[in-house]
Amino acid sequence: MKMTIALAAKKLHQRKLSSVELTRECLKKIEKSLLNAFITVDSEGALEAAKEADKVLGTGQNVQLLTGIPLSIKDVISTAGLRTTAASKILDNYIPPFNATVIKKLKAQKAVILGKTNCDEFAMGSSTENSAFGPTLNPIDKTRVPGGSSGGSAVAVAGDLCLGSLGSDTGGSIRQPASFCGIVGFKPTYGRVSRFGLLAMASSLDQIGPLTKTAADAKTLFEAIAGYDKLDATSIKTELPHTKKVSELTIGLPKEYFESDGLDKGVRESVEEGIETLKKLGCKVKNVSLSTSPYALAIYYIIMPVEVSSNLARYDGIKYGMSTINKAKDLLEVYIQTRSSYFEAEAKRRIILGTYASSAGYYEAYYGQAEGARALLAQDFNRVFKEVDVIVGPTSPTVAFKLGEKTEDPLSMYLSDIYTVPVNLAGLPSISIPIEPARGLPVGMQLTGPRNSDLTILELAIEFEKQFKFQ
Amino acid sequence: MAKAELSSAKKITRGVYPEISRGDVEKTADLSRLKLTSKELSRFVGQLEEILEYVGKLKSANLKHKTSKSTISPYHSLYSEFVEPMTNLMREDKIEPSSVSVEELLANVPQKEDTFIRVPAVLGEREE
Repeated sequence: MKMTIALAAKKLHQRKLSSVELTRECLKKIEKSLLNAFITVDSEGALEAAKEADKVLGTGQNVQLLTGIPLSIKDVISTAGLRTTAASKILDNYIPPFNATVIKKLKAQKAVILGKTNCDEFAMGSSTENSAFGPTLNPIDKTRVPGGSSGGSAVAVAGDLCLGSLGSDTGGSIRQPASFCGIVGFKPTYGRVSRFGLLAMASSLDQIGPLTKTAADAKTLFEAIAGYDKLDATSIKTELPHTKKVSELTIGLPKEYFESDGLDKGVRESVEEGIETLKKLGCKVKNVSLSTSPYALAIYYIIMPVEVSSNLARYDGIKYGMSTINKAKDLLEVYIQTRSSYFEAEAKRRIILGTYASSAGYYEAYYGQAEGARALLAQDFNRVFKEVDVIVGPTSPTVAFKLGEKTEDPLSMYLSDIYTVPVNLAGLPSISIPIEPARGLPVGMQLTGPRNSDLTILELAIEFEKQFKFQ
Repeated sequence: MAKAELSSAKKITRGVYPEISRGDVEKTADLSRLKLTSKELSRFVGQLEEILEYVGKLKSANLKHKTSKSTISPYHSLYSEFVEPMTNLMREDKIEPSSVSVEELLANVPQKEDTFIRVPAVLGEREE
């Protein structure tokens, strides 16, 4: 059986296992692995942290659920003294002088950080093929992608190279790779987890969250990183409300999610089986309609690149990162040469698209229209959540696709996020949990709730997991 | 980043999207401080055309909403209306000690002199 956080914590607390042993085991597996899940491995730092954790475990004082647990971190989250590249050549040499708030929180629990996981450049992609450090391979079938952009995190967890991982989700980047790799991926409510220290992609959509082997582990990791942070202006101050009983929940099935053309037959059948399991837990099921959802991806592909073009303007070869400053003849040339030489194609494409859609003369027609439509989409969710507690559907329309299958066709790549993107546009909490595979490949089912229903979503996923194993 | 009128901008009215030309892509890249190779340029024109055609489905959406030029403020209108009322977040104007030293903050700077970031002279900047 693969080691979960819950199981390891139990063994660590009973002193049947030491953090150093557990960390060594992970490092050994990472070294042997051919999946390219990691960009940077910090063996020395990890073993040092493990020794410290063992001391704490030995005294039995201040022992917490993550004390001594080896985790991995997506390479878009700042780790002080440990290279953070965003899988981009432009940050190949960047060593953050500070920790992201989520890292501070993990370190306060004496968790062990093994290293930084591969992803699409600046988290822009759905397959981890847009990494300057080469693609990550799906552990279930090495000819297929692991999904993205948190592909390295998903593979590190699914491949048993670590016990859990932190990823980021702007349009599905935690949930879609979790779905493709057969693990759990949770995107919290916008504002529930601080983004301070996250290398920003699209700030009105970005959210940090856990990728784990079980829903119970996702809850542990979420509770460790959640909470108000004055360093993130979008951080929520109020406490999370208590959850309703799972047997009292009403599940909504949006007809648009099941009628869409691109939905794979095998994926649909697995999700339908998953819904039967939810019924066994006592959940009521209701058909609903989210009439704006067919427009979600169009809205997303205006708003996201506009924010990308602004956020990526900071990479100019002056303050940090790779630079052509020694070759350029004037300041403007530093900017142009640095950005042109070190950004890869998808970053360039989105910067150009975002600059185009926000330029004078187009701003109103693209960005204005998209913001208006986004408000309607959020309203649509609000309306449905008056009738149901949780919306259920597939996480992605297909199983993991082949490496190289979609790299020359960005639009078809974007379509793999069709069910995950609406959730980010409305700032909702959402989890992908593994269900019955289709043709031997993992399938994920997505559970989405209203804002601040994070605990309800997690409890439902935990109960589902128990019932699913029992079947 | 500077914004400028693009060649076909005048023709646009809400919900009608013109095709993106090679010149538009080149000009937009320039505004974004990117110089594309001719191979990249050819590839991007086709790909961006396809993406813009896809997002063009918004024009047929007949999405009635009350945004007007004067009230659009990126995420704020949505956030205030559907999430929670927005308030300005102001920190007290008080110096707080930092755990990071000036040296550490400057450690990633490509070119520096003492505690300053060194940049080339702003000469020969092109006119826009």
